[in-house]
This record gives sequence, structure tokens and C-alpha cells, in this order.
Amino acid sequence: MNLHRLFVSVSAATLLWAGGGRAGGPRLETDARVLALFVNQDLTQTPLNPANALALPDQSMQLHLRADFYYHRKDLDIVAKPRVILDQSEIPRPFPFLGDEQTEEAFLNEWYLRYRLDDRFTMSAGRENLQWGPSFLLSPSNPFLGINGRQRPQFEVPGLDYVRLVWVPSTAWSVSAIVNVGEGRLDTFGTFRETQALKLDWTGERRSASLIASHREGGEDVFGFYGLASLSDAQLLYTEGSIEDGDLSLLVGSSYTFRDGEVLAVEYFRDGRGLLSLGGEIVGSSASATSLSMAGVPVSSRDQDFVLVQYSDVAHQGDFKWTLRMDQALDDDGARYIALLNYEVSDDFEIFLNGSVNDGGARSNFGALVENVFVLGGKRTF
Amino acid sequence: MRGTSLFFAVALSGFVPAACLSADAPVPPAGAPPVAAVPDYLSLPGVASLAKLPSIPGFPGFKRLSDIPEGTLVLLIADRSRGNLEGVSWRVRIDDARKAVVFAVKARGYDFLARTQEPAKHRGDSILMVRHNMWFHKIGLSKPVPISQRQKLLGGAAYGDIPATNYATDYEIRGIEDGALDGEACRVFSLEAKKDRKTTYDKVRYWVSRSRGLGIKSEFYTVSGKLIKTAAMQYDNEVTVDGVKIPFISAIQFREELVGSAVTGMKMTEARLETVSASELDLNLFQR
Repeated sequence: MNLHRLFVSVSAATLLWAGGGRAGGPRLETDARVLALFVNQDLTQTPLNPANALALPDQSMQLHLRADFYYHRKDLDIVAKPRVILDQSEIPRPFPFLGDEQTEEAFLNEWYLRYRLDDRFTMSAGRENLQWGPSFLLSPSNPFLGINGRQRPQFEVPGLDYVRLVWVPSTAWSVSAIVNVGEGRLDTFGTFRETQALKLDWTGERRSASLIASHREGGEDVFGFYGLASLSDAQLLYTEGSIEDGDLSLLVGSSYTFRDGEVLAVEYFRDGRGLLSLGGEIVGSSASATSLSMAGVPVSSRDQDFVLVQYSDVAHQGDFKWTLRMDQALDDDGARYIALLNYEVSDDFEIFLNGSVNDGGARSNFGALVENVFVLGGKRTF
Repeated sequence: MRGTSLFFAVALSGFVPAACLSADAPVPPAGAPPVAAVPDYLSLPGVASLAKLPSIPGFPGFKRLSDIPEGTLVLLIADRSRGNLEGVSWRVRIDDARKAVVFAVKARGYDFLARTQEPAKHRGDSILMVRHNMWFHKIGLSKPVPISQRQKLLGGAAYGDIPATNYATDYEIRGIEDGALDGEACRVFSLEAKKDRKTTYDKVRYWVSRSRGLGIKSEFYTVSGKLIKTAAMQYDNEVTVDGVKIPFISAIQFREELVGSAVTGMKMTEARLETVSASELDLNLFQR
């Protein structure tokens, strides 16, 4: 298998080379991970996906080979994250002779060069997964990609192509000029338009806030914001939102950390712009299906309300980490129940079981494409 | 200006040999915290260089070292060996009874960036703390999440235990007394967090060695006075400040006191003084 050999050869050579790095001097760091996954999902019978026109699998065996390379010197970082995905999927189709699908993909999910002009100015260009904001449900302040992939952590959010200039005059203030110049790994089905954004960040003592003004080619201007405050050593209060043409999407949330490290988070989201879309649970067998799920199909109408309740223990302390989450749509009574269970068998091997039950049927926000998703697998780190 | 402050300032400027300081130490005014009479640490390597500082961080109203009260000055000297510098990078290993975690840390004052190096499954997981705002990024996940100060690193070690101590600027001195620890003469400080500062601990009882000028033991208390945990410090590292080598923190052993008595060890190696810029601690450049 050529892709596999290439991946392993490059990774092995780099690991050997990396051994020669000097402390404080230029150095190369590498990480390699292999994930084996079994995915089962129940597809919803829906006019949105007649006769499974989207070719969504109901079962899938996947092998993900992931390597991260970081070259660092005083003024420059070069990062590359090549990926290989081997997939054997069963895809329900109206004509059985179309059969199952076996795919191999090799791609760079992220790569970028980050150059420090001086202590204050940093410039970067390449493919990045650019995320911000304190929310769990989604990131309404992000004009590039509002999803954050937190409900299915084993699958990576696609990197988009950016050029950035970041000015950090102090630890209290920073300004970023960001241009999304390409769709990268996100398949937008030919609808990509360049977006420019200016982001202003302020960090105060135990609080922070950011403003994001953006313009999408074609005339859409969006004003985003988020803020975060520590009310005590255990409680955080945060908000995140955006305004477009007078329509406000607003999220308000709070989290509380208990003495043993468990965290309870509650978020309320008023979706004035129709941002929260379905499809976040779909595991596609092709890049386009994956991108579709990550981009989301905007069937959620505007002015809907959602509540997230999440209870988790993902601190460093124990071998068993878990997250229980409920996303409740208040207007259509649909809900999404998520359990993320992870057990660390050894220092370099862990197993996981992710389950998601989407309640509410084909006309609800969460159950419109898939009803249930279960992901079982293991991850080995090298 | 209190008499003791003037006395210290003159000594630090080099006009009075440290050996002569014990004889005529003035008595503090009534109501002030009692102050020991023998400031042995003034003769320590590098202490004189403090007098060259044009201003003291955290003391905007003070222009000279001589304006700093004596107790605060002792804390300032002890803070120097706990990373209270323009920047420091080091490797931090934390062990409890069950597991170990190793971080590569860049710190500047209270702010720090820690990237996990071991174990392999957590390699690349990162923590960023800037002005007591804390973010955690797990490698493979899409974005950093904010976390509270209550989250623990491992065992009894809190995130707030990684960065430097700024006891001189972040705490009010409620009392100073003479004491000893394992036969070593100490100044024992009772410290209380200033209202405008956001410290990890509300109250601290702090033993500073008189002969070495180093903080060698801490007791951490809640606001209500309950003992949370204790910490014993060692200083086997060395760094160079103004051409003079000074001892630097190398290990802290934490013992839980509120619940159980678990012991957690924190070892710092490969300590290097280096300027850590604001951009290295910026959230926009944190994820990689």
C-alpha cells in the first residue's frame, strides 16, 4: 500500500532526525497516532437525504494514521499534519449492486509557516484549524467555521487556508488580521468566498474579551464577540455571539469545577442567525460527506433556542475520562444526548466509546439526518 | 520611611558590610510586625544587584530599593529564586503515587505556557495561563477550552503552583517572627493575599532561610484558616543574574492536609533564564 508506506517512511525518518535537537536551538518535534474505529449510525428516513443520496454509511471500519511535525527555531515555526484514512464502509443504496465503498485518502489537514517578525509581530500562512471562544455548543463568533467538533472528538475538524498577521503589544492586548483565502479541507461545494476579519483581544485579570469584525466577499458583514470572567476559583461565566444585519445570535454559559475536578457546564443559545445546523454526527466515507457533516446543512431556521448541559471529568488525574452532554432544542423538542467515554489503558494506549442519540425525528434539528451514532475504537500514540 | 528600610538600603548599597548589620538593628515601632535583628541574607551573592534596579515591579510609587519595607524586601529576595524574572524556561516533572507528567514550561511572572511531554498519550496537551485566565488545549481536539483555577495538574499540585511566586507584591505581611526549620534559622511570614491580586492561595505561612535567603517551606490556608496543603522547597538549580550565580528552585514536595495526606513531587530541571515575549503567551498563537 503506497500511501501507507510513504507515511510510515516519512514518519520514521523524521523521528530519527528529531533525536538530534538541542535544547534552546532549532528542534523538530513529532507526534504519531494510530486510531482504529468502528462506527455504526442509524440513518434517518428524510426528504433531506432521499434514498441516501448523500451516500452516508451505516457502518464503517476506519484506520486513521496521524502524524504531526513541528519544526521550531527562534523566529520560525513550520508545522505539517499529514493524514491517511483507510475506510471500509457499508452504504445503504437503492441498488445493491452499487455495493460498499472502500477508500484511501492521504492529505494534509493542517500545515503552516509561522514567522516571528519580532517580539510583537507574527505572520503565518497555510492551512489551520482556527478556533476560539469559550463555548462548548458551537462558536457563533467565528466567521470562518462555527463548529468546534467537541461532540465527536475522535474526528478532526478540517483545516482551512488562512493568512494571518498577529500583533501582540502586551499580554493585555493583541490584534489579528485574518484572511480565509481558501476552503482547505472543507468542501463547500463551490460556494467558497473569501472572508477577511479583524480580531481585537483584551486580557484582564481573570477576565478577557474579544471583538471580531468580518467581511465576506459578496457583501456580508458580521460582528462577533466573546467574553469570559472567573467569578471564583471554581466558576467561569462566559458569553459569545454575533450580529449580522441586525440579527443577533447569543450564547450565555457558565461552568463550575467541583473539588474532585468534575466540571458542570450549562449554556443557553438564542440562534438568531440560523447558525446551529444538523449533521454534526455524520461520519462520511468520503471527504465530501465528511465536509458536509462538518459544514452542516443549514436547515435550522432562525430564532430558535437551545440549552446545553454537560458534566465531565477530563482532567489529568484519572485513567477514566468521561463527558455526558445533552443538547436540548426548546422549539422543536428535539434533543441530542452524548456520552464520551475514554479509558487510558497504558501510557500510550487508550480505548474509547462515543455514543450519540438524536431524538426528535426527521423534522428536528438534531435527528434530521442520523438518529444514533456509536463509535468504538482505540488509539495508540508513538 | 521606617528605620529598618533605610538601614537595609544602606546595607544593600554596599556602604555597610553585612557582617556589621547585626549590632545596631533598630527596634520596629510599636504595632508593627516584629522584625528579626540579623539580616544574614544581605551578604548573599547577587543580592546587591537588587539595589541597581531602576524601579521595582509591583511598587509603582517607589523609585528606589530603599523605599521597600524590610519584610517585603526579604520576600523579594526569596522570590528571585522562584522564577520572578523576565522569563524562565524549564522542564517540570510532577509525580504522585500513581503516575508522572512532564511539562516543558515557559514562564514569565505569573503567566506561563506548559506543553506536556510525557506520558506519550498526553504529549502536546497544553496549558496557558495569562493574568490568571487559564486555557487548556488537548492535542487532537479542535480548540482550547477555558478552565478554572481549581483544576489540578496532578495529585496535590495545582496549575497555580507552576509559575513564579510573587509573594512580595501579591501578599500583605500580617506578621513576621523568628523560627527554625530542621535546625535552619528562618524568618516566618504570615501572608494574606491582597484584595486586588488574584493569587492561588488566600493565606500563606512562609519560612525564609536567614542564611540562604530562600523560601524553604510554605503552608497554604483557606480564607477561613483551614490548612490546605504544605510545600517544601529545594534549590539545587543555578541561574546567572547580572553575572552572579544564584540558587534556583529545583523541587517542591506538596503534602495534602485538608483531605488525606497524599504527597506530590514537582521537580524542575534544565532551568534557563530567557526573555519570554508576550506573543509567546498569546492565546491566538497558543494552538499549534
